[in-house]
Amino acid sequence: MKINYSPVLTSQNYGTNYYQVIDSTFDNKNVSFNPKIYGENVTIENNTFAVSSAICDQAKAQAKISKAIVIEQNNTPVKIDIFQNKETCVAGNLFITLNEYTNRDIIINIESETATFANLNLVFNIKKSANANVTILSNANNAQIFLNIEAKIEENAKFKSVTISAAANEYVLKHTTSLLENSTSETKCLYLGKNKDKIDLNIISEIHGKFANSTINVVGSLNNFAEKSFKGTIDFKQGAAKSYGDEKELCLMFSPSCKSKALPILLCAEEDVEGSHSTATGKIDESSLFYIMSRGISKRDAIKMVSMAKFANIIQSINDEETKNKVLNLIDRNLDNV
Amino acid sequence: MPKTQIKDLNTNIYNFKNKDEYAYKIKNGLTKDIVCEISQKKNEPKWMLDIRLKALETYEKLSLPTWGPDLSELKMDEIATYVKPKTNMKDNWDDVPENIKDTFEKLGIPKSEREYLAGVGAQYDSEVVYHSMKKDLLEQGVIYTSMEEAIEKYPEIVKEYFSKCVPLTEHKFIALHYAVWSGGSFVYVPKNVKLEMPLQSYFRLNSPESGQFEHTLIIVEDNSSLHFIEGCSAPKYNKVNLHAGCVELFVKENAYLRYSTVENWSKNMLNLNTKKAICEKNAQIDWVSGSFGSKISMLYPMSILKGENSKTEYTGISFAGAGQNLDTGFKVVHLAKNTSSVVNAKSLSKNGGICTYRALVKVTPNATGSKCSVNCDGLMLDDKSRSDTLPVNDIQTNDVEFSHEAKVGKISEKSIFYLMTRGLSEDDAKATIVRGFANPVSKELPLEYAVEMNRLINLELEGAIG
Repeated sequence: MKINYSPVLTSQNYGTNYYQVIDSTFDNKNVSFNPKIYGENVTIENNTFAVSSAICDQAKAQAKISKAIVIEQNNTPVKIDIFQNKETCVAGNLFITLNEYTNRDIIINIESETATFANLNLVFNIKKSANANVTILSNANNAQIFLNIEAKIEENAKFKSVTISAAANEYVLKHTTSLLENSTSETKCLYLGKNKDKIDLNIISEIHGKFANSTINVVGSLNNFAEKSFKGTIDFKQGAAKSYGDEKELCLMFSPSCKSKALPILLCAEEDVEGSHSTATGKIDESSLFYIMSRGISKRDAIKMVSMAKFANIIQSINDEETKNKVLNLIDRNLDNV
Repeated sequence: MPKTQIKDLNTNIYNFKNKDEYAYKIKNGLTKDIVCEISQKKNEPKWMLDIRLKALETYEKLSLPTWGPDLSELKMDEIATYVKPKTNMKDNWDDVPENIKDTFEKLGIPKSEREYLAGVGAQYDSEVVYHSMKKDLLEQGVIYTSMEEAIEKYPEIVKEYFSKCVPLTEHKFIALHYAVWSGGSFVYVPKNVKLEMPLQSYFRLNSPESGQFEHTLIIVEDNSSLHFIEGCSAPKYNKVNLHAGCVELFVKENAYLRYSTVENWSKNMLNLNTKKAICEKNAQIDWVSGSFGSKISMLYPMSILKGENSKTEYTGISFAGAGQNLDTGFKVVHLAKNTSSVVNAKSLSKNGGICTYRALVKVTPNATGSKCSVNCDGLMLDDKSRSDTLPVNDIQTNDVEFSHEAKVGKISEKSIFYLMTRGLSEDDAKATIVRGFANPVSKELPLEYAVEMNRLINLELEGAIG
């Protein structure tokens, strides 16, 4: 079964347009959905919304349980734990609305030692002049994680998201932002692929309004036999005059057996815009390593230093100190095996 | 600040029509009988007919691509796949019939031959009508002739290479090409021969509701070099014409081939061309491509870097105006160690034109130490047009240096302001920027008629911007 399609297809022979899973991936699983939500000025409501998109129709059909929360202004972060004790398979929809002029940090943890499967639709509605800083950490060593994130960003609103895939056998992310006038979207992704991990990232930013600003920044490392496919799309719709869009992708490859595919798409139907993308793939530059090692630092530490420097932009965007330290530890552990 | 406006390229110089005269025109459509008839008319060996029939079978099995421009208006039942002009191939310009000679005179082909070229081939509809080459090259063993003559005179070489670079199963339109191909050039450069002056083939499609399916096969042997130029044009008719040519290039060890194309098909043409090169050890293939014409183009030249240290460079520009959808790009596959590729693609879209850059870079596990740099820029000249970039990068080893950059947008107001502070008028500033944008490509375009093309672009800019 082919899932997580790119919005615009290129030749099917390239194998980058979609992600392939076995047909029964979303069938016959005993799924539950009981996310724990912590935070002040947060109202949990009965959901009346419908999910507009998902990784695929089967994933949409499986995620039958929905929760909706409305977030108002407060200085403390909102924390959401997706997995509860001993839960192994979760599937559900979470609708998060940030009311007008609200400025909040939201931290979503998809962490579990026992988890084997997660299929989540996270739908954000960022109202006018609101500002959401969202961090989503996926850390479940032996799990398949299917994550669909949608964000509708209204006028003058900002949506900054950092998604981190620290551990998962299979990590499939579809991240769609839709920008209205004068809104901002900053999408940052960090992945750490090892063993036979498979990572498929499909990040789409649709710019509808004038003076909107969208950036996509994806950085990660691959080791052993890990495979990553990145599909990034910045889509300037007609009417998006004076808007700006940029996507950057960097993939550090630590093993000759890992594979990296990238499809950075730039679609432009408006003249008065600035759009750019860049991708770079390869191992760490030998001369940088040599320079650091010539200062008496071991090769492993030199690799860590250079890698951390590449990841720094994303790590610094995590506002929550506890999550930031957790991510730093996970990166450190991951680089130990390089 | 007033909008930047650039007029369409003046293509009238290519838009003159001759009377639709021919010695033979096959009936419209695509059937087994038609394929056999083409083969029979050409008096081909059985192995070639077998390839044609196998290709027809493949064409019927394959479906239209699910991606790219809409090709639904292409109706093979309305296309004549073979139109034989009222002459055979000549090697003396004076022997070519007046009306055909006049066509190529207007396009400047014989003048270029006298001044710049080592040899010229001219195809009118489905057959090559003129081929000639300088005598000293003949003496060095260089072969430059039509594909039909090559099959007759050099069957062993043709059999060894024909359809080996571009297999007939690659896609639907290459299968169509192999079923009905006609005309095209065959070039063989023996070992240690370096051609100082280029060879040029010009393809002209005059007949309405017809297709051109020329096959170009070039073999550059060890330590040799060649610059080959290809030009194409056609007058405009109301119904669609089809061009589904094929170019197969073999660049052997330490050899160099530069393949330049200026394509200015009329705006009723569907240009579904396939070009591929295989590069052996230390060889280099450079592509220079200018796509200005056609209604729809799907054109993605490809380099296969098979030998160690082989190299490729692609420099291309597309200019899509009203009613045009130019879906172009470049594909490169790194198969061996220390191979390198450099891609520099530019596109200009205006007046509702659509430019798409669709490309592939594939670095296989064996291609360690390879380097690849891709740069593509799109300039939008109004808000009715589109400029899309869809590059695929498939990297299968870590010992590689790969980078890709793309930009799209309009002429920067800051740049205009900067140039105006240096004393340029606003019009001149804008014209300078657009010319500068196209310059890395246009300076590489070949010789006489490319110079003409450059001059055309510049004149249009000077007259119309502001």
